[in-house]
Amino acid sequence: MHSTPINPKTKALHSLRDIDGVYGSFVLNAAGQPTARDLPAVFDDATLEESGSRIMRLWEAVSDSGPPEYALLEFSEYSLFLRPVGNSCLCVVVPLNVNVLALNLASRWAARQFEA
Amino acid sequence: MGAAITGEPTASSRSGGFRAHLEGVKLHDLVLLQGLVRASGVFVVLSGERSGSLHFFEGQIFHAETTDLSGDAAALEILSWSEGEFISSDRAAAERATVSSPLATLLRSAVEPGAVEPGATEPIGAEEHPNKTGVRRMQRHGLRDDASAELSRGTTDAPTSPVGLAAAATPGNAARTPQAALRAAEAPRVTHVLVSPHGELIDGHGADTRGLASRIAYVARLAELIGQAMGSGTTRCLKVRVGGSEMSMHRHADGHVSGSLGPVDS
Repeated sequence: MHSTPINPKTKALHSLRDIDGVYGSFVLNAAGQPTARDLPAVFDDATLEESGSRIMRLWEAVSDSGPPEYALLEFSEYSLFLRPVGNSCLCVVVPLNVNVLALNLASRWAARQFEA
Repeated sequence: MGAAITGEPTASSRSGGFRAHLEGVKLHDLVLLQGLVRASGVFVVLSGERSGSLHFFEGQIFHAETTDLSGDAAALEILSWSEGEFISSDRAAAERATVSSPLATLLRSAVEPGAVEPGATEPIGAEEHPNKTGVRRMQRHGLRDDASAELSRGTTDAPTSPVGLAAAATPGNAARTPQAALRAAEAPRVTHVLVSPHGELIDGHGADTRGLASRIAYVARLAELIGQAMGSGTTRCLKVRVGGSEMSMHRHADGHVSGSLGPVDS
């Protein structure tokens, strides 16, 4: 059970669950700290703190030739879909068989809500 | 010394083309030929009391086995045999990939032992990583241009006239050779690298292989740490879309990492 979205940013993140299988999402600032989240409780603050800075370093490493449109990091259990939001990074936790095209479009809309 | 190519009619031979009976051809060249024509299928190799099989997909060996070995070790063992027979087989292709090295690396390693790291080898019966197939499936795409890139580099081990050899050995496939030549012209657009578990560049072609290898090694390590922190399991791959380009990274079961950078449509 997930709490009802209470602000536009959380609502934007929640909208990503329209894509079949999406577990949740969060936004990291340039320092790798979470600034918004819509995640199951299993992803606690400590987990995001630990992985956030590394995600941003990875994002920086793949941004040599300009900010990526998106990145998909696939693990054995699930995948992380990343896309830029200004100087921040939107991270979506998705199943391995996610519809990337649909997710790309949905995340673009969500990202715009953060950039507005 | 050399290998003879012969065999029973295969699906491809029944559907057209020629069957070849050659003698005095080096196994190295026969295998290279399969790469040049981007062959898919299984070849049985017999050499005295020894036997083995090489499984190709689009010109890359993705599985190899002998009586005692499988994977890169088996491929290198087979490629070391100096004479015998190279037989096209109707045998079903392996369902799982066991060979992680691109064809160019295997061929070079057969000539220069040690070019493939010992970690890339495994005995038959070794536990397979569950994502091995997936990783290899991606790698097959990533290393698609190895044979053509070898052509473009003018590898000294390659036949002096690969087109002529293709026509002589498998005329049924010779029409595909110009396509390989075309891909060779396009090869510089895409950079491929293979990085060891310790971050060393093992093989690469294209522009700035060292730069890409460094980035791939760093990204692979970060991905591993992110996966550990988030409890998401082992890293499989990363795809990054930047404008009209795509960078991809694939971690192999043995810890090697392959990467590519090129146009999205490549």
